Amino acid sequence: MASQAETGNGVHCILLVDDEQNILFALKRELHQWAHDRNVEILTALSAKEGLSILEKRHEAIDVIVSDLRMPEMKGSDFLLEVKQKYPSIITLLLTGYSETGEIVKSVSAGIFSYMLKPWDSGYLLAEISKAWDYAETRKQNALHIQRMEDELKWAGEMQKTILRPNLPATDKIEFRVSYRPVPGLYCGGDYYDVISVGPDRYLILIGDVAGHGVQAAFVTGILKAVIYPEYIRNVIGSKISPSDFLGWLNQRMHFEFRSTNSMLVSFFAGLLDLREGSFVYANAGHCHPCVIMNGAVTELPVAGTALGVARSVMYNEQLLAVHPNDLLVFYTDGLSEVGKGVQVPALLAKVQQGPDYHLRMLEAALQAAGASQFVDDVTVLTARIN
Amino acid sequence: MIDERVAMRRTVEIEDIQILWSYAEPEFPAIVVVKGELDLKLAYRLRAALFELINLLSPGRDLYVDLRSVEYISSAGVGILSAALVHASERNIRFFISTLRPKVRSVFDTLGLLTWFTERDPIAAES
Repeated sequence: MASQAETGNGVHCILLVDDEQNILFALKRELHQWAHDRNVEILTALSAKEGLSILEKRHEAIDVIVSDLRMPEMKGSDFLLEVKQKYPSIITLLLTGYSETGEIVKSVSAGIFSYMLKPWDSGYLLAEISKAWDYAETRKQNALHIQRMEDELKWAGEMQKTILRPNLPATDKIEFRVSYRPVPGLYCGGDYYDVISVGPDRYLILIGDVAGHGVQAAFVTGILKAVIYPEYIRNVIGSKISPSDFLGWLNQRMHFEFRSTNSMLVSFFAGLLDLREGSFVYANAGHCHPCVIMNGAVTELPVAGTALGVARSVMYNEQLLAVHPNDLLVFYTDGLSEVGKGVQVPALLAKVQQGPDYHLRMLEAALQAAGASQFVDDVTVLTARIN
Repeated sequence: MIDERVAMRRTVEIEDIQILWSYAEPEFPAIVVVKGELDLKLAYRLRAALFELINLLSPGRDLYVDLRSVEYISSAGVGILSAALVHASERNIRFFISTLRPKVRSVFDTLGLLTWFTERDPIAAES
């Protein structure tokens, strides 16, 4: 009998490898009905090398391999080790008439799904191959689900980037810089930032953090974006803007949005920077305290307030800071301070060398200080340098 | 007296959440002991446990969430405790948190929610 390796599109295959043609005949007979019921194509190879050659062409279609142990040129255990290395998703079974402990141990380390003895019992053989087949199918389904989830998360991340990530204003009087990193592998997250020009040399600086990660938190940032400008800022541009009034309104608005859920929480900071007056008026709803660096000295902007969404009505305090050319305002989310066992951000800021990429150096410095390779939460750093 | 009553009480453990309560003794407070890191994953389990317990307890009972063994709490964890506080209040159940480590306390504090909770130690309340 000639070995078979017919090609076919979308066909699922099982590969039988044995140096004895009679064994291959017998196995094909045993599996005939089983394969027919599942629309499975049976491929056969008379040696491990031939098996590898078939795999090279059709590995994407092969789900299960049943291999003999003792074969000339290349032993079944070595063959299965190579399969594991090159095609780790294929499920393998060993079928042998010999009990060579060392070779069987080697096969086990190649991750074989099952071990069957010759002469085989038909019922046992079919049951083991069916189990292996079902396992392979489940793994493929899981891999597809994971891939689909990842694709959707990537899509959500791209959408979030399009919807939320603003083009920061740029003039010769002020320079805004930002870095946003969602949790690795989630592509989207719960950090929110915006800089809205509300008049000549006047900017409303917003930064927030929705509790949690991923799509759920990203949805809430979408709601924030959808309500903040159209429902509030558009109506107050040109008139007096109060960060504390704004936060009071936003709290009430988000409390309403969270009415059908529970446990949602958003920390949020709002500050109005007026370069003509040299002032920065700000209020805080449970967000990490921003910092200002003046003449190399780092100062926190400590005004406290309740995070958004917990209570229906909250009053916020407002603070005023006088700002000057060369001052640097630094805003961030708690992903920065929660890396590793925790980082003291004001102390960190004092150590980072200033310059155009200060925000990026801050991130690297935080990772270095924590001895970590990546952040475990969404992290945003937004800086505003007054020229 | 206390020892005899302990036998009538039920303890349930779900991963790092231990729940102690008693149907038989109306005066005995329900105690939820949380251990380890109250991150997003544990926060979801705690939410389910707390809401189920709050729905089980009759109005007027006391519920303590003991955080002495919590080394880290995320904002999502604080959010769940805040939601539980609101739900307990709606059902007229007195909700207490107890024994916050400094790092945990600072998260409540930053979020502006520390003053929303009443801190009370269940052991002190028992004695």
